[in-house]
This record gives sequence, C-alpha cells and structure tokens, in this order.
Amino acid sequence: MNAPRYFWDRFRRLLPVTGILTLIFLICHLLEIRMSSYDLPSYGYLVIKNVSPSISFLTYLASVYALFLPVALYSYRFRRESEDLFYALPVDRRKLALVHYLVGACSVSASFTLPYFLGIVFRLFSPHDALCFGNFFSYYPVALLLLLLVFSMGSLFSFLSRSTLENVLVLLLSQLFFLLFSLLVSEAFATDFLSFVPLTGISYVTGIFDTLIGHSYRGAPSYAMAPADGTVLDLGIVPGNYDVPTFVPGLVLLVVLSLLLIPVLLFSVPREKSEETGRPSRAWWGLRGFLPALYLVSMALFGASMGHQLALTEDARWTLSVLSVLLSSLAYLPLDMLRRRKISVSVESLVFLGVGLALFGLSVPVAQSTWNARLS
Amino acid sequence: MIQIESVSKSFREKTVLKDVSLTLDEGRIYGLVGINGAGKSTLMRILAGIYRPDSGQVRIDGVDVLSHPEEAKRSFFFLNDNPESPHSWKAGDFLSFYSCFYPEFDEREFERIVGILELDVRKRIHAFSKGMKRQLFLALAFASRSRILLLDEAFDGLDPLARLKLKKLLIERLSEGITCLISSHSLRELEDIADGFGLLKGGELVDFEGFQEGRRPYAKFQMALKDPFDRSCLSDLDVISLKETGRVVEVVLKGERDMLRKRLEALSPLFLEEMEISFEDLFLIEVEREERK
Repeated sequence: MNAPRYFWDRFRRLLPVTGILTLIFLICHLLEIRMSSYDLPSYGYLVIKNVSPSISFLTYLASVYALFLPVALYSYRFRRESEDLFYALPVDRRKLALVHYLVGACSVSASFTLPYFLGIVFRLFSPHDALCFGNFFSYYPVALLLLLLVFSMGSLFSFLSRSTLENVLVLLLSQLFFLLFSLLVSEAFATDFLSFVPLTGISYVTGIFDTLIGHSYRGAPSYAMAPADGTVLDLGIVPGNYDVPTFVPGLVLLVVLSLLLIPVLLFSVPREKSEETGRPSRAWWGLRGFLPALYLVSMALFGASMGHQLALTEDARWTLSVLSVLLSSLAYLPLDMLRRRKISVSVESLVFLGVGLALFGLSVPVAQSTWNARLS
Repeated sequence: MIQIESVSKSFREKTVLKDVSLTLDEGRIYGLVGINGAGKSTLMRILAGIYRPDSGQVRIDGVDVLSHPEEAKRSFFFLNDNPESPHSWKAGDFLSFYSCFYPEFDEREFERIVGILELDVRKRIHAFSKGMKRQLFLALAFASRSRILLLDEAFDGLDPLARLKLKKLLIERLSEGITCLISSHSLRELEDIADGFGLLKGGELVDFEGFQEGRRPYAKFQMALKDPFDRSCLSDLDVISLKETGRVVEVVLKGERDMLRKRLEALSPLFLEEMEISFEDLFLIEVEREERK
C-alpha cells in the first residue's frame, strides 16, 4: 500500500466535513468569546457553562466530534459488503486502521486548532479583556491531548463493536471511563477528583454529573486546569494560576493513556472476526463483560462519592451505592436488549427520546442556576 | 496459482466447509457452483483473507494469505457478491482509491473497459443499479492488473449484453495468463468460459475436473423398449434419475459411459441414444442426490 497516498486520499474525502465543522466551531467559539468579553451571558452561554463549567465550548464540541468520528472512520467494518471491499485489499488490517486513525486525528486536531488560534486573534482586537498568554498556550496541548485521548478511546471502542448501533452504545458507555479515570486519579494523587470531572463533559450523561458535582463544589479550592480563583478557564485568557500539583499528574496520565491506546487499538485489529460483522458482539472485553462491569463499578463509585460529598453516614453511603448500581442495571438492560435486537426501536422514537433527554439535560443546569440564584 | 488445503469452516454450530481442497494452476477459469448457502461466498472470503479458516491453509502463489496478507493479496482482486462502497463516492473516485493499493493499476485500461461497458464514471455510486455497480467493480478488477481474479456471483444482475461483454473480457485476459475463480448461479454462462467446475454441496467440494473435455461422471440415455420397462433390470446400476413415458425411458446413470451403454444395449432396446448432459443437468443431479441423503 502506498500509505501517504492513501492517507491523502482519505483526508481529502474527510476535508469537506472537517471544513464545515471547523467553521461551525469557529462561529461558536467567537460567539463564546464575544459573550464572555462583555459579560453578557445569554441563555445558551449559561447552559454551556453549566454543562461544562471549566472547559470552553470549543473543547466540548471538538470532543463530541472526536468521540463520534470513529463511527464514520471505521464504518467499513459494520457492513459485510464494505468490509469485503476493504479487507480484500492488499494491505495489513493494522496499517489500514492506523491510516484511518491518523486521518481522524488530523481532522480532529485541525477542527480544534484553527478556531482556537483564530480565537486569540479575535481576542487581541477586543479592548475589554486582560490577556494571559501563559494560560492560553498551556491549555492548548492539554486540550489537544484530551481530544486525542477521546478519539483514541472512540477508535478502540469502535473495534469492539460489530454494528453502527452497537458502536454508538459502546461510545456512550465508554464515557464512564472518564468518570472512573477521575475517581482513580483523585484516589491515587489524593487530589480533588472533581478537578478532572469537567473533562468528562462530552456527553449529556457526564455533563449532568459534571453540573451536579460542579454545583456541590461551588467555591471549592480549584479545578485542576482552571485558574485558582475558580473562574471559568475560558481558553486561559482570564488571568489565574494553575494548581500545578494536580495539573501535572493529570497531564502525565493523559499523555500515557493517549499513547497507550494506540498499541492497544493496533493489537485488537487483527483479532477481530469478520464473520461476526453485523451481529451483536460476543467479546467479553466489550459489551458482554468489560463495559457493563465498568458501568456498574463507575456507578457504585459515583454513588459512594456523592454520598461522601453529601456528608452521609457510612450506611447511607452504602445504600446510595447499591441504589446507584440497581438503578443503573435497570437502565442498562433495555440498552443491551436493543443491542442484541431483542427489542427494536424505530428511528423516530429514538429521535424523540434523544430530544427528550437533551431537553432534560439542558433543563437541569438552568433549573439549578435559577435555584442557586434564588438561594443567594 | 491458488492452493486450498483441507479448509474447514464453521459458523457457531453450522459447518459450512468440510476439508475442502483445490489447486488451480495459472491460466485457468474455474467455476464454483452450489445452491444458496452452500458455502461459495465463504470459500471466496477465506481465499481473500477476510475470513479465517478453522483449519487448513490457503496459499496464493505459494504465499499464505493469513500470515502474509499484504504480499499474498497483491496478486489478486476479490469482487464480492454484493459490492458496496460509501454512497457519496463517484464511480471515478475508485480510481484513486484502488491506485493506492495496486501499484500496477492501469487507469487507461479502466477508461477503456468503462467505455466498453458504457458506464458514466461521473455519477455517484448510489445512482448505479446493482448490475452497473458490478460492471464498475469488474472494470476495476481488470484495471488492477491482478493476475488472479476472485469473482463471487460474477454474472449476477448483469443484462445479457453485459454478460457477453464480460465473457469477452475474461477470455481476452485469459490469453494474458490470468487465473480466475468465478462463483455463479448462471451455470450456462460458466459453461461457456470455465475449463473446470467445482460443486459445493454439504460443505464438501466435488471437483468436476475435465468436464469440458468430456470426462463426466454421469451419462444420460434415452431408449425405447419392446416390452414394459422393469426397474429391477437396472438394480445393479447407480441410477441417478429415471423418467418413463410409455415405453420410452430417459435415465441418468453414474459411471463410465461406454460401460453403461453396453449394459443398456443388453436390454435390447428398439433404439438407444446418449443425450448431451449439460453442467446444469449435472448440478441438478448432484443437488437432488444431496437432498435424497
């Protein structure tokens, strides 16, 4: 295979999507800067900042793109016919996957980098802000690593799935990895695990968690990557200091995880069974074992953590954990049945459900803000 | 050269291929037939390195497809039974796509074949009919300059004119020394171009090597008898099928035809004639035998 030529061929095909998304991201980014510059939070701005209090809207959008892009990049594996086309080519499957990975990584990086740096140019001409280039430039590699980590995870979980539906379910569940990551980091480094939770705000599920935790920790010392005064990071333009002892281990872990996922991905590629394409995956390390376990452990830990934050008694904390697991199991069952096609759901009802969940997700932070405003 | 050695494959509890072996030398067109679900596409996919056999080996020009996929696959082009691609692609986009993988990809040849097949490469692939898609991929297969073509259901969905053009192109390429393994339900089309046949039934491959040279395992006779026909008189023969119309009997027997003719002449028929047995007849005979089992 002529890898550079194939890379360029694939990237050229992805270019229109990358270009359109970059433009959308840029518009949203500039709007966010504009709104924050004049301290005039609109309804949308309020919602965004409540969903992801310490990451910019640009990072949030680029993370969603990074998470779901692998569904399209590796979609050739989800239909027998297209898999035949790609896997009969004179190329090793790992090389093929790697080229697709690099194309996706470039697209994700470009869609984030261009608006990010155009944002600073826009900001330079804004007379109302104090600029802090140190924060601006140090946030960039962290955010980029986060995006690549999300993208690597998405790619890996794409290889666990055997159909588009399964892939989307796996990707949603894989979000829990970040929650677990936050919990583990907080335990390992005895830091505030909430520092890392904002990074999980790339889906509504984790966004709601983020909001709940963010509000319960209002006025707490700091977010790891946010300025110490608790101000929204806002691309590091707001002056402030990083909390270095929590920031550095988090950054190191991000780098290690981002790099580790690539060999894991390449190791998993040749092990896949083309015969299983389109059928529910039977792999124990996918939706059949590892992810449900991850889901339940995360829910249990989350329940315990919430109990701790709410200063509940030990018994009450246990009860909260058990309840979290039970409720989560009940929520997981229909998802698994859907994946195994034991129940079928029409596209219309899925859209209806999605819109409902989105509205619910949006209403939670708004309701909380209103409630907090009343209290204050 | 294609070598399939004792390949077996099961899908969960169902055995699809049982100890299948076949060797194809260069410059041959070999037809693979079988009823739906017989395992033709599975065998093709194993050959193409897409499926992993449970046991056995597949070698292309002596190179194992599984352990050295890149090297082995460089010499063949696989066209599956339902070629698909991203819908947004234009037919011409495949040119740049396949050029990345086949170093000898011949763009002029592609344009020539596309011209013969009268395909509009500026159209998007989703606007193509099933037959047009197949023709496009066949053009790509020829333009890839691969020495081995693995064509699954090659004639499926093609109109008679396109079939004729495809056969001409295949014969043209045969003179250049390519090897082609074609699976198809169009037995008559295969009969015109293939020099050997394999029938997949019950997971096993029955190789009808030399069928085109007249070496056939069955013979079909029609005879008229003086007296009413008594079935017991053929009890020592392997009767595949028998049809009686009054005193005229049409019988298909397994065995060497000269021996069978002598055996039937011993019944003193009023006339005895050996009839042409087509590959389609042969296919139906084998399928019926399998069903009887």
